[in-house]
Amino acid sequence: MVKHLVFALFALPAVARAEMQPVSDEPTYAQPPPEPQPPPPPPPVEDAPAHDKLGFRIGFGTLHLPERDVRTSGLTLHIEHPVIRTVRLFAEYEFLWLDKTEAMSLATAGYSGTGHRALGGVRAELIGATVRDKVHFYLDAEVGGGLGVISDDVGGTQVMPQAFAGLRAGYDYLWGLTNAHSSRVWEAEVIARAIRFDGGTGAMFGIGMAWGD
Amino acid sequence: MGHNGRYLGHDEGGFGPYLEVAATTRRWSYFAELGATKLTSKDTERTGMFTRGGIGVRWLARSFLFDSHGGVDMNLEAFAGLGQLRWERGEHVLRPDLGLGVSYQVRLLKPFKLALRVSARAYFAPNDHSAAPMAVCRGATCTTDASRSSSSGVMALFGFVW
Repeated sequence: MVKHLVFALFALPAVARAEMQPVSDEPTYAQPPPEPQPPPPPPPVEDAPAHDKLGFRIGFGTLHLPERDVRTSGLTLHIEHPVIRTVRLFAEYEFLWLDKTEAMSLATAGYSGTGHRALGGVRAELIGATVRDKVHFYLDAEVGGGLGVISDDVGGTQVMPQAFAGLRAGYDYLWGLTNAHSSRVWEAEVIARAIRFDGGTGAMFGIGMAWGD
Repeated sequence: MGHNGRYLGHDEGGFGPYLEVAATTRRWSYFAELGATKLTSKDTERTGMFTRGGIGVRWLARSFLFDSHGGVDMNLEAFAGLGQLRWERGEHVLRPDLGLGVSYQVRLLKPFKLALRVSARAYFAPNDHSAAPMAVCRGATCTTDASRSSSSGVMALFGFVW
């Protein structure tokens, strides 16, 4: 009798707990592997560049000084900062090589010299088009001013405040934001510029490149 | 290598071969260079030979990769050197120089590493006053003694790098 009571005390609660648990008809399996997620969409390619830029240019030009003309070759380093997408401020330094001066008068003919120009300005896009999200072609107008210094054996050292206006044409090769080791934009351009200074005029034609981050 | 400068106020320049060796870290290169050019002065119709050795440092300022196969880079460089102007039937002049330059290189990464580099430099050098004076200073406003004028000029380098 005692054995039956002890069995009843332990067995009945177990039977009761078993009846309270819901019974599932579905067989149990291991958790299936997660389905592969689609790759994240590529970052949008920018329609047009609006980056800080660093670049350089090689230019050739003339300075029409009183009673003589001087041909110039220049090496320019320039930086650029966008105000808005199509309007950008720039500053540049140019080292000038002054070619030998040809003149009608011996007194104004001279040997080669050197010069420097520090200029700043603003450029704005007149026409632009982006092809296949990769290359942005443009035609820009620019205005600006600054200070030039030239030195040769005819005029000695001359300081020339100056203003300029010009056109730039070229393209930006656009890169997405996917490569951390690369600049975002690479620009190649040709530039034509008219220069005005006290006592003369000048012109410059150049080709340049810039890298934008 | 090509250069165009002044010697005692006169135009001088020429073209010739150039060799450079460099040790490169990620963005910096330290180089030693040697070049030789024919030397011509159009003003004085003199000729000669110009040899120059130098050292310098080059900074990879910007790099744009078109894809994994290559890209185009911008370098800034500073250098110092010592050149010798050997005029035929004339003086031999040693001339130190300091300069700054910029270059771009079109770089191929695959299938092998090769680059085409074009450099443009401006250099500044004193003249050797012991050389025979040849220049005259002309013009009413002339304030410069041409025989003491700087020998600053431009230098261009064009070549392959690997």
